[in-house]
Amino acid sequence: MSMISATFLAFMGIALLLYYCVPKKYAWYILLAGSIAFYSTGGVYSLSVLIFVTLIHYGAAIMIERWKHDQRKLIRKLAFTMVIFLDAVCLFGLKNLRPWMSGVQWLLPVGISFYMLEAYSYLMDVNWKRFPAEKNPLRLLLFLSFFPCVIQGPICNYREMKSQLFEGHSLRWEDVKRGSIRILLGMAKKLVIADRAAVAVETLTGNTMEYGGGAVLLVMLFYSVQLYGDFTGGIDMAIGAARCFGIVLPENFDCPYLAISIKDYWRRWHVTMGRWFSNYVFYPLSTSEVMGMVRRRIKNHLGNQAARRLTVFITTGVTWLLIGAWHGRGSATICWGFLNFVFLMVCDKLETRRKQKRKASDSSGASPWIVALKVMGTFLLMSALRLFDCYESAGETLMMLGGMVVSLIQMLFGIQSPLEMGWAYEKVLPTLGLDGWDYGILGVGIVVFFLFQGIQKKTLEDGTDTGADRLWSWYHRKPWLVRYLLVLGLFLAVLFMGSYGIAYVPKDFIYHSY
Amino acid sequence: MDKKNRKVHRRALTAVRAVAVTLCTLLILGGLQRLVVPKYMGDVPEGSMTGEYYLEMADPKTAQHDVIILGDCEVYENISTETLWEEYGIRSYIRGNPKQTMWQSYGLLQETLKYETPKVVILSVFAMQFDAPQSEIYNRMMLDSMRWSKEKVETIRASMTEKESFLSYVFPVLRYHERWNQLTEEDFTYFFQRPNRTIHGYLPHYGVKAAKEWPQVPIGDENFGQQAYEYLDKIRLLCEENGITLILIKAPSLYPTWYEGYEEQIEEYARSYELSYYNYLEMAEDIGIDYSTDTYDGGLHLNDEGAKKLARAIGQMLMEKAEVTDQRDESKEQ
Repeated sequence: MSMISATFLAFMGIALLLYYCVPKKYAWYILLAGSIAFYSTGGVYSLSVLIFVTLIHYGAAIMIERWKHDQRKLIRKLAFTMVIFLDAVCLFGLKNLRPWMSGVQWLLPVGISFYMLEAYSYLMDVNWKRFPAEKNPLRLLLFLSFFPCVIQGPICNYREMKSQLFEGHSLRWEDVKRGSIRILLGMAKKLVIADRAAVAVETLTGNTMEYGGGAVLLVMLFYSVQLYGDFTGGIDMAIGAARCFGIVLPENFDCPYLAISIKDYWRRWHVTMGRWFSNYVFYPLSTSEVMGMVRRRIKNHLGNQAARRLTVFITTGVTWLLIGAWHGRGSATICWGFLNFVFLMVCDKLETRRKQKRKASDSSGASPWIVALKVMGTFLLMSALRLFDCYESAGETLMMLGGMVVSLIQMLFGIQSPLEMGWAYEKVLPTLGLDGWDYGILGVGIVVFFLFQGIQKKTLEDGTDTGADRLWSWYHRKPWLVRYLLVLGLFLAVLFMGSYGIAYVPKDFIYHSY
Repeated sequence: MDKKNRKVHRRALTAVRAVAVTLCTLLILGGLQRLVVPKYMGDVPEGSMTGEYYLEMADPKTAQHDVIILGDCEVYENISTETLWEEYGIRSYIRGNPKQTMWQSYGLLQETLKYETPKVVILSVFAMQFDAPQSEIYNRMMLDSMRWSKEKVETIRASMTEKESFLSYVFPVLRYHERWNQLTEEDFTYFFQRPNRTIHGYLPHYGVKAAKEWPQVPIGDENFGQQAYEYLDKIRLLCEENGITLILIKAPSLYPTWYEGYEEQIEEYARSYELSYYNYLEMAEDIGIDYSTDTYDGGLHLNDEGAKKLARAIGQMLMEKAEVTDQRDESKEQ
């Protein structure tokens, strides 16, 4: 079931009605039934995989807990290995063992789904004795299948969700209102912005022979707009849907396109994924026996500082390669992960040097122009890296990027004309399947969402912390008529400017198939 | 004002505000929906034909018909209701729409019987060749202006193509939302009311374009489908239940081809249920149709002259075979 459908809205309405009608003690059964119904629309096979994965992790957690006082670490490791093996078998089955899977594509099934990451985090937290293993498999099933976030996150952990999911909630108008507006905001991002930009992206990437050179910059820009609208819109809908049930999901974005460096960007983009890989890959790997051994060896040869740096380097590299693999497009996303790692390391090095320099010169704060340049530079760099998502393979992406750079040089030195090199945008833009109105809507939409980001970034005095809280605070302080007009405007924008209906091909969320 | 009164006052204010906001929102949404729905007042008037019937029925002078004609453009462009009245005194109405299928004709007949019971129903059998939903655009033309009823719901369900959603019929804004940047003066002029574009359902064309040779493309299977037969049966039974004489016709349109297999099946059906069937395509010469002057689009449809000739033939047939009487004197007396 698509979250962008009348069926989903009807489903939400029924689920909410039942949730608030039954006694609080039993309310979570409604969430469970709803989640299973929601997930089963994707096919009985997908549902059976989800149930199978739940049972594997449920059983493994019980076993691990039973042996928690046992010093036989080998048995616990064996349990983990079995879990990973069974999950992989499950997911390989899900992908039907496609014969075309070759090269590094065998990595595809490893933790490809959002709920799989949640399942691993649950198991590891039980292993680390952060909370006891769940005795009721149905409760674990609800955690993994909770319908607002089962499609594309945010990636939650059991500790933050446990009490919220099972305690039941009284109907609070504030929750329903806030949730509904968030859903509407998500729909606007997806239908008005993302799906419109997607038309241009599909045209540009569907014909690489025609749209090379300068047109690659357009792919970067349009895809950045599409991905932002699509992914943040989907997360807004997920957070909004959960909020209607009184459940607060973790925020996944914090003004990512206003980041001033790649490091800053990854603190703001897909926050829950970053948190998961930090908590369950980076830190465990850093403190693992293997890394300890590596550190000791390097220390013996190159000294303490080099050992510390190199181990950070190795663990970060492994983490980013895994993030790339998790994104599931084989060599393209692994290459993307590797390049993120390289730029992060370079950025880290530069930041350290700058900090040292600043300390030496004792200067404080950067000028707004410098900040603006940094924001623009980060945006362009991340947009270039996102190209690995757009083209068929890593090789093609690198070729297109190279072509763009060469064409820019040729144009600047007057070797070729802008028209020949795809830089004559007045000729390219009318061929992308969008008309003047579409570009106008995209332009206004981008400006509005940048303004929202500005509001989200501005700290208020009321102690609220996330960007979404700040935006809500800003909204809530307006007179009721202004609030009404804002919501009505948003609704009308979705209703009239949304890309839906018989004239449009419905587009799934980009992360829908993960 | 004490604390309790203030609280009551505040609550009352909130309630009033909520009602005002709800009404205002509904008014805005309703208005905008009405604005974006096509008005069909320009070159394509076909989209308003279902709705025109209600205007006719709202006027007591025109609210009763002796003959209801059901079908697609083969009836609403080919039969002059004006001539039927002026020359034979037959009050008729064509409930026709572009590419109207058998289930749509059935839905319209059911609806018509809520307003009136005609003596005769003439059904064009051309649509028997369609056994599945045809076209979203034509569905919208036929169904958007139909009044809400059980019949409309059933007709929508039977007519919807794969990509259509029922919800878009309930809220047409979901279908026409992208028209906001294509609005013309017509959308504002006919915002509240649309005048009739037809003469009792007849849409006349006055041009002349002589008929040409149309290709006779052979088709593999000339058998009518199960669904088409099912609705033909339903129409027949509904007429029987209401004491209405059902007459089947094939209009004299040269194209799309009316295959021999089609003709045999209709003849067989008419024989089985003792229905009258008139193939005016075969009788075209006898009724005086001249395809060099009586068609406006090369033989696909008749022009006004041709429609008058066909109406005369139908009028004559109705007077002789269906015992429909001349109502002109009665009308004058009233």
